[in-house]
Amino acid sequence: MRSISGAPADAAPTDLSAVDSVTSIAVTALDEVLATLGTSNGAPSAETLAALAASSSATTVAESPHKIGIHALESTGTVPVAVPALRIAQSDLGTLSDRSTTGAQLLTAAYITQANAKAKGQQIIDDFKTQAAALSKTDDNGGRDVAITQLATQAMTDLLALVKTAQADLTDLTGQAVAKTDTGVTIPANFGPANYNTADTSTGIGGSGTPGTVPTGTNGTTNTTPQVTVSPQEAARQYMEKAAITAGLKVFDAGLGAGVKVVEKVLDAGVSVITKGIDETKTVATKAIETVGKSANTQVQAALGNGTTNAAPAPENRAPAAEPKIDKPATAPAPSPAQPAPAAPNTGGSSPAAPAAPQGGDSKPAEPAKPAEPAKPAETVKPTPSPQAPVVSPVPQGGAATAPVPSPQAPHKPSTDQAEPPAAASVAELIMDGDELDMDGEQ
Amino acid sequence: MTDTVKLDPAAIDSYRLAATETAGHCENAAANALAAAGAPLADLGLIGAEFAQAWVAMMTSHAADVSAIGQLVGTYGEVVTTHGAALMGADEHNAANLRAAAENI
Repeated sequence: MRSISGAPADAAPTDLSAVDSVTSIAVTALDEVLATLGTSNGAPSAETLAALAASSSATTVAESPHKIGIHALESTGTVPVAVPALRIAQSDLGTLSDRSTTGAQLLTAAYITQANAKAKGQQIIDDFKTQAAALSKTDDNGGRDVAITQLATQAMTDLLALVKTAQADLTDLTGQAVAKTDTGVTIPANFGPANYNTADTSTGIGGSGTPGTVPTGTNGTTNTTPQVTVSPQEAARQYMEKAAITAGLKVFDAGLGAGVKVVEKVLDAGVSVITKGIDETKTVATKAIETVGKSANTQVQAALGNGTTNAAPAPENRAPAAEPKIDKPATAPAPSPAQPAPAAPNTGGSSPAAPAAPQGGDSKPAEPAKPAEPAKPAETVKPTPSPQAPVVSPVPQGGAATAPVPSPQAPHKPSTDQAEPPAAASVAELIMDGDELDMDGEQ
Repeated sequence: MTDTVKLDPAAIDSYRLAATETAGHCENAAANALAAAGAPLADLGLIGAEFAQAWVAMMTSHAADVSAIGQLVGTYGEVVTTHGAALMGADEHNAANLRAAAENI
């Protein structure tokens, strides 16, 4: 690409500020793209890692006692009817035991990917600045005007390629997280009122004694559900967290949208210079850059815009940009371009859904807390109220169904799908623009 | 009597304690998982936004699952305990009736 530089030497008037202006615009655009790569220092917060570690160890520790407890019942043949259900719970617990550890690994990997991309992106920009600075000091009459445009184009192309790679890596990590999301807890059908009542056979000698009524009482409370869901407070907090992320996304997207416009100006100018060839473009490019030289940034954009208009090939070249989206199957090919507009509605729609889902997801009323405390072992006589209720409930619900995991799932998925596409599309588009420019440059 | 009912009060008590302990650990695990899910991930940038949402969903569902198991186990502990108490109550009840019957003979 560099070989082209110096071509319009005889036509372009010397104006150092032209290089500086293009550099300024390009750096602004590059920084906009760099901003999409995040700001972390490469690792999750210490608090987050600590919470994950605590969760992981607690889950692991939880397995042992229950396992021993089950053995105590089994070895003595006590309440055999309950054992299968207890074992299922034990099994589910084992399935989840490494989940927090996986979460920590995925999160850490994501941060490393993001931070590495950010560092490389920063390096690309720094290199560009260095080269541009060197260029602006040369006394190469006119040639540097084209050269700086090419440098900017190359820097943008490299940066977008970097974004594309990092995004692919993160998409992979996203898939792994999604794969670990739909677990759910099994609520066995073989442990409920029906089975429990078998214990009632001991109606007792001598008539309907108090003992006999116990099972009945338990059975009566059947309707309460032990289905566990996140508490309202937690749900609210989750909603807030999600809203925060969504808001962040919105901001980023808006920023990217603005950046794209600037980038397009610069890149289109580059395209016009490169595709039209040394002969024809000479005057157009020169004219544009000439104007740039004596103008402020706003006028610079206008000038470059004119250059684009004059260069017929530009629009055509950009057309194919739409196709590339195909190679991003994971992300729903959003029809919308890079503009921030589409993002807003989507994000807005998804987050509200979050809080609603908790109820809709499962027909069972979420009232987890109750069952735990009421435990009054001593009460042999019909404790009709709460205590037993939850126990029985699973069964009546209609068999061993994998309890639909609480609220979280439903809201998340949709939001993920909806929120990201615009961004992905825009990035993809940028990348394609970049690739294309690159190709043009090779000509 | 083929329908023997085996009942070991000590085993029941053992299970109850175990269930309570496990349930406690589960709640602890769930609370921490939820705390982690609330981590600010905006610094992952736009490029990491999709991952961030998926990850939060993963951890949130994990918290809910662990919490569900904890409550389920806690409830099982109660059921087993109640069951044992009912049987023992029935046993005493029967014994009392038998004693009364014996005296009347």
